[in-house]
Amino acid sequence: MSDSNVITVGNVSKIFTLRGEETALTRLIKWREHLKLPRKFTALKNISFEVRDGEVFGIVGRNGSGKSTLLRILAGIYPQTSGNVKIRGRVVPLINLQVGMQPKLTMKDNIYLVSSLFGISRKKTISNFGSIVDFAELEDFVNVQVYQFSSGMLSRLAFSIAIHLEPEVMLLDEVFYAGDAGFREKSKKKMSELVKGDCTVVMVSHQDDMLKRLCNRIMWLDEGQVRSIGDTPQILKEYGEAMST
Amino acid sequence: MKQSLNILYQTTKASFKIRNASSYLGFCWYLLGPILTFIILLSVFSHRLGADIEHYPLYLLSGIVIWNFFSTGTSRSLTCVFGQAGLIKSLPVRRELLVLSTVLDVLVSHLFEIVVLLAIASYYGVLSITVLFLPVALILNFLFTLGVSYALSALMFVFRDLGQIWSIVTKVWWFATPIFYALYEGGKGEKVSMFNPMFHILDISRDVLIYGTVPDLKSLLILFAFSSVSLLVGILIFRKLCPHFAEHV
Repeated sequence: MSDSNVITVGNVSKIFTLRGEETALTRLIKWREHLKLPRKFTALKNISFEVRDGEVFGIVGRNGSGKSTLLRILAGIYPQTSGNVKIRGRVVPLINLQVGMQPKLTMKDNIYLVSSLFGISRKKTISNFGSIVDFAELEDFVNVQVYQFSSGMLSRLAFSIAIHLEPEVMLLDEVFYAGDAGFREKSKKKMSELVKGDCTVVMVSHQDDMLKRLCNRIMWLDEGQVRSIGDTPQILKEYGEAMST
Repeated sequence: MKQSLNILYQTTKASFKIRNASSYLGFCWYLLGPILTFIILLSVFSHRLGADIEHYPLYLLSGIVIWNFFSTGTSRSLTCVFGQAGLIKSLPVRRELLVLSTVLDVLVSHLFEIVVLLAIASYYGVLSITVLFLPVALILNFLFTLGVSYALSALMFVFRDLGQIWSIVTKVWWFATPIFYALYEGGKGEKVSMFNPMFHILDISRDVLIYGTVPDLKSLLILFAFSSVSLLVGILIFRKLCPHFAEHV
């Protein structure tokens, strides 16, 4: 059965070491103090779960319960302190949509730059280019430096690049739509299409309707530990009740 | 591998474009610094320190230009990972590529300067076949700079004031390297300079560019050792600290 699991997380813990602003100067002056053990903070404790092929797996929890930390470990941005993570397929982490954008470069340059950072080949980007510009509805601004864009235009561009990344495993952190009301609807629909498509998705969200519509299963994180994992309606109900009391 | 090459190509192009303000004229701006330094030093020293040096203007300019590659490359690499908090917190892009693309970007503009240098050398009529050795010095300079850059970009996460420290180090190093003066043959300075990789880079470059002599084998070997050690230690430090970059910005 383990073959159908795209993501396997076993006993993952993450301990952060909290440091002050450290300079060579302070180290020199206060070298004694550094003999003390630095403060530790446990962000995740013994997390285990599996996500099956094509499944949409939601994560809920309060602020600071470790959701984003877990996504970053899945994405390979943070190393876990212990435990193991196995993922099959090309992972596309959409944690911050506007990542890698350079304000002083034109929209065209940015599309190539950001796509490359996400591991998309130049050839692929050339063939996607028209579609990206189309979806963002920014045909007239291809050669404009993006610092002159409004924030709505920027987020439309970022979103449009993101949906052309063709992931096998997608990690979403509260990124579903962008722009004004019209574009919001359009992007929400597109994202739902993507999520429901072939790829396996792990998504973090605070929006119940979104989770209800999209997720097969949900994991509830509480202070870095798994409170419960199960079917969407059941977990959302438990979570909702716990939040309202 | 192909993916990394594409990232390298795109990020290098991006930083080159940003630095040149997306215009060909932007290139003039960062040539201006070295040229001003050159003019000032030339007008001050050509009749004093430079009087004994054959082809002093060329000697001086090559010193400034080659030193500038090292100093610009290393100082820009200080923040090339550290300054990109948003990127490294959201994407698992191979961090090495950020450093490599920064140094490559500086290398591209350095190549322009080398072309200018070659043009002036041929105007002076000093170019000879030995100039074919120049790429060797260039590559060793690149590797040495890259190694230092790897180390600095990673250590920046440990010492937040590394920028200030490095600017003092490079200033002292600049004066300690025969850029606008020459060392006495067999003097004390020459012995000390054996431990200065920048001295060897300049010495070899000037030998093959201006004086038409084959590079000194001893100098080449020492420089080669410096470059390899720098690259090796740089990559080791980078690899050691790299996994935790995202947590410390």
